[in-house]
Amino acid sequence: MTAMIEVEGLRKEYRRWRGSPTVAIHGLDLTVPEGGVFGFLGPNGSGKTTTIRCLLGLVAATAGRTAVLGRPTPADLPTVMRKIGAIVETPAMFPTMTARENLELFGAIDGIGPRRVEASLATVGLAERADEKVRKYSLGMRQRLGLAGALLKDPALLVLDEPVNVLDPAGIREIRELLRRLSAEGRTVFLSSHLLSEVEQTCDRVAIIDRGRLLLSGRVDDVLSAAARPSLLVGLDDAVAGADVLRRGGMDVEPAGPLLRVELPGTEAAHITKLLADAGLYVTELRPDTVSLEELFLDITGREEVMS
Amino acid sequence: MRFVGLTVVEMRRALHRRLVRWMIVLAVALCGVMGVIVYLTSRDPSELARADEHPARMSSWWISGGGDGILTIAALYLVVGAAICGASVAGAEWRAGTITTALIWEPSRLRLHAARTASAGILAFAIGLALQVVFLSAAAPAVLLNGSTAGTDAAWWGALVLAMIRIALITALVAVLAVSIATIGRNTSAALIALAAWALVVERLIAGFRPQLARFMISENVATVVPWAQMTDVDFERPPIVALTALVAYLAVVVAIATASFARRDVASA
Repeated sequence: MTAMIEVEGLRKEYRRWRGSPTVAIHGLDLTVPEGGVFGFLGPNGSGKTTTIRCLLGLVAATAGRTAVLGRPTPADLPTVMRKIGAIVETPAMFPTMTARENLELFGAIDGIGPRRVEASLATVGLAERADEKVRKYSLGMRQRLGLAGALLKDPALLVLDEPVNVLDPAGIREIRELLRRLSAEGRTVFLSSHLLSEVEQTCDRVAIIDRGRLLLSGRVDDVLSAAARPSLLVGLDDAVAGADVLRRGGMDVEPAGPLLRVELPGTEAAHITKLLADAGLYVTELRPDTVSLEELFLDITGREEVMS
Repeated sequence: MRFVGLTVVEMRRALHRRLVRWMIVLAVALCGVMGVIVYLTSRDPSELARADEHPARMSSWWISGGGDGILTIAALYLVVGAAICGASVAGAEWRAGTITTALIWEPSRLRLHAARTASAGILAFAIGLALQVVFLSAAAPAVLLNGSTAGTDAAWWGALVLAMIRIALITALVAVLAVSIATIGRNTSAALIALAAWALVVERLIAGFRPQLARFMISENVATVVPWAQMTDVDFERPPIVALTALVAYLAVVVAIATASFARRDVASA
């Protein structure tokens, strides 16, 4: 599979006037394959935005190698950037211009015409307010405009840094659907976020970084199933009696909220239901004890709370 | 072609800046006020005759070789305006964070900086020339109704046009200088303070304590280039062509430093 983004041994230090430099990224390795939505997860200050800025040539890497669309960056950025749409943090547009004027202005650099501008505005739901000055836009509308700008080039790769950060729930849902649609069109979306549930719902693949280091990377399903415990969650009207029965049956049982966690692989579900039914207890709920991305994140980063 | 397109885009962006627009509007308004004052003060023929120089007499617009005439007032406004607008065009990019957006669209920093610098110079030259025309046109009714065009032969018109071009050129040089300093400092105010401190304090101190170095100062060279004549009441000789060459050389050094700074430094937080 072709790699859309390759990062090898990326290190970024910010020098300070006094004292030792701040290391934002410690030898990061990352590969983003072609197609799908790739989630780039990490808490605030973990190095996500710095990595993206390195990829886009906005900051110079202290060490390591980066390549986008198979070409080394930043050396070949002027060539490959025409196939990349990007937003970094909250995109800054020119406030005294309208949304349409902003996009037409940027489009003029790459010879993009008004038809494409209209299409991009429509895609992000800004067509009806395209003639308002950007300074009157809310943060969410500015974010959408940034996304419209990123789509303007009809990009093969979208690099989006926290694109849903300031959107309301309806806006987040729209953008999620849009990203899935763009992915279905064959584009690769590289999505940086600290909204774990959002990434879980949107992304096919995920990489988690913290303190400038890659902690984990892979397909979301694989990552979650690898992290899942071999246990089942059991719901009963009388959980205490149920726990007794299961323990007498030789199983490890512990309470998990209103449910019981039974240390058994999912294939043993029938054994549990038989034991309980023989004791006159009926199961109201029975499911594998899956792990959410949020739990996994907290587990591997050792943090007590989800970021932000 | 891409550079030309980028330069046009940079010019459009600069013209969209409120500060630039307000400076132009203010200049036009001041021209209007000046026109009214010139008209009112030229209505009495005896008072007009007593005045040594008056804009209602067209020959007072520009006095060849002396660097005098009302056009020098326009030059002063244009130089200050070019410094403010130039610094704002570059400095505001960093404050607003639009520099990141611009670099995402044009990742070649050299090309982007060159386009911005060129656009500032071209715009400043064009606006400078246009505002001088407006300025002199504002005095035209007083000339036609109350004053005279005596002494305005072809040679005078030629000298006036050349003076306007030189003033527009100085306006462009100052705008590019301001863009460059604001690019180095990544801040509008810092650039303006640096420019003002250099022109009004450092150069005056050097010229005061080391008069033999005065011919190297920007102010002295500008004061030589605008009238295209050797300055009077000074102890040094400075032919206009040498003064212009010095100004261009100084600017080239500052532009080179700004270009290197823009090309190498991180855009980490904008």
